[in-house]
Amino acid sequence: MQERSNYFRHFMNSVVISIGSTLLGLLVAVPAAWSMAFQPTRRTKDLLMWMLSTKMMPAVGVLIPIYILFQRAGLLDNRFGVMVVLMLMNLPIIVWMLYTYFREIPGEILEAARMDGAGLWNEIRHVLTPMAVPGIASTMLLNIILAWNEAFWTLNLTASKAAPLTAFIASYSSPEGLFYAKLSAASTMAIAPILVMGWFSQKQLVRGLTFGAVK
Amino acid sequence: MTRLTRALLGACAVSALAVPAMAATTLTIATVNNGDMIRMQKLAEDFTAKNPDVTLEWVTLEENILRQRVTTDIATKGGQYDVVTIGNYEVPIWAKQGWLVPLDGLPADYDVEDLLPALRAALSMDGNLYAAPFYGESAMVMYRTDLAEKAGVTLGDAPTWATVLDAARKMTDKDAGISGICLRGKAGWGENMAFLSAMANSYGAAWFGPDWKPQFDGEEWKAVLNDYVSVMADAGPQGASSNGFNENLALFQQGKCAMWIDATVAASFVTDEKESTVADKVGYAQFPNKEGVDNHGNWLWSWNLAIPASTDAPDAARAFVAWATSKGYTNLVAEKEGWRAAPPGTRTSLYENADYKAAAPFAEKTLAAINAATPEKPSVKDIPYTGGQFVAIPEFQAIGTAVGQQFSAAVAGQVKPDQALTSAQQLTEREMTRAGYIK
Repeated sequence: MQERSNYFRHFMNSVVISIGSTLLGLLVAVPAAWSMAFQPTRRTKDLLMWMLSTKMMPAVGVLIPIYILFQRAGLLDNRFGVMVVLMLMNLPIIVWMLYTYFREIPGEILEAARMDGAGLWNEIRHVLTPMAVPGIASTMLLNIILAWNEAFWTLNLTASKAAPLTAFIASYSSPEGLFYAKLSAASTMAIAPILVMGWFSQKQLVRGLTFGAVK
Repeated sequence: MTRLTRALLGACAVSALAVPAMAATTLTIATVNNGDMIRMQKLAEDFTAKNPDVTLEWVTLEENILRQRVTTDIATKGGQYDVVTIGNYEVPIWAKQGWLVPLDGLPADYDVEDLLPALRAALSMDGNLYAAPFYGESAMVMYRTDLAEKAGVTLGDAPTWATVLDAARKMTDKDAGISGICLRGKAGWGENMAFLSAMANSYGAAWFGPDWKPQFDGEEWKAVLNDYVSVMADAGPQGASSNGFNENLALFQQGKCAMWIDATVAASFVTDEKESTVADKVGYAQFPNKEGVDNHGNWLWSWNLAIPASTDAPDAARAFVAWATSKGYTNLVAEKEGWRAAPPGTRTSLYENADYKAAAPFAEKTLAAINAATPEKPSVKDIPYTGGQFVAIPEFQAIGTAVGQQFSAAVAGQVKPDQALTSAQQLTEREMTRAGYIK
């Protein structure tokens, strides 16, 4: 299989894109979720619903505009470009999950920190984040899985240099000819890394998903 | 500044100027995932050995993903690919849009005259070749000679539909799990509509009249769909409405189909002793026609290599296309993997080669099927379009798939053939009016 496809390049692209898009997403989503959870306005609920509604739009509807933007920005077949798109695609889910976790944290604790003189950055960094670690970790893991499995944008915006494992699998599917053995091997190699990661992190994932619930 | 410093700076400047001139050209090649193309990728070392300044990057994708991907890139002038694999459906449409580089200036030993005339015509516009055929195919009947003998039926070289439909019913043995005929039922312009469009051509039907009005309300289409649906009900496999090429291939290879009408490329799969349980029991016949209609379906498909206008390496791309579609490449495949593996259906010389004819018993039937195709006039009726198992207009992908869904529903028994034809007529007329064909 390595003779025909460069598995390790696809693998590295998958790792960089899924982790990179997740970190970028958290960078935007943590402050957004904090403000929605602790400084809500009358429009916060509407904003959350609007964010979620963007997930309902068929991706193919915005393919051509995004493709042209990427072409002009020189981001086609570029890992950073794919990271940005996947971050934007998954941002509503990250914000929603973090918002739900943050709301479970009593606002009084943050108020106490403020009374002790903590600024906004210190409040998020030293008080909120440590308390929400299980939630952030599970959001991160879920987002990595979503980004790892994303096939529409990764297939359309990459060619060879930035193509992740989804492109690797797609190269083994054929409408004329039965190549099930190779396709099965390719699928196994593509899902194995994320399966192993999920296996090792299942404790944190379950803990995070049940964080704040009545236990 | 010392003399030494000046000399070093000068040397650096010369090197900086020299580097781009010597830099390797990288060609990104988008190709479809099938056996012949994968073989090309494997043998491409021969090209890079002859062109050491060219590096090849491969993007291999399933047909539908490749089509979507390449169309997006070429229509937006994305410039991600230097060589693309496209079908003869796309070539005239894209050439007309100015999206492809004409393939002039091919080396003298390329021998353009050797390309099969039907294919060359399908890939040319205004006398210019816009894509080079890598392999070509038509459609034919593949049947089990042992089952035909047992059922007492003779198909001959060029059977009519009456003979084929009768043979399908006679060869059906439901107790033994053998279907008399396997045909495409899965909805899609390149799936069931490829077969049904060819069948319609052979029945004397046409997609559109001279004024672009759809013809599904005519008697010919009614006969096509009624015969297709009834034979699939009587002699087809279970769940036929979801069967495409691969599903029927699997059924035939496992001995579950007495007859299969599909792409000629399937012949090499069903006669492959490693994969097929019926490899030594396969007979071939020309795509059927209805009595009195001089048309054998006009199925003509080829996978071709073309150069997008957005490439920044047209010369290297042209050199690659010439290498991959040359006689030399065919000889290379024969030398490495045997004549049976040679890409079929593109060059006359291949079918004059005694070694190839000995290795591929289906060669003559394949050539006859390809030569019988007249893509410039696929129907016996007066029509405004070219094509064959498709109509060569950009709207066909969407319309063909929508009509295919109606016909697939008829095979599944969800609607009557007449209802499916009425819906097909309405939706096609609506889309053609919207697209401005019908005034």
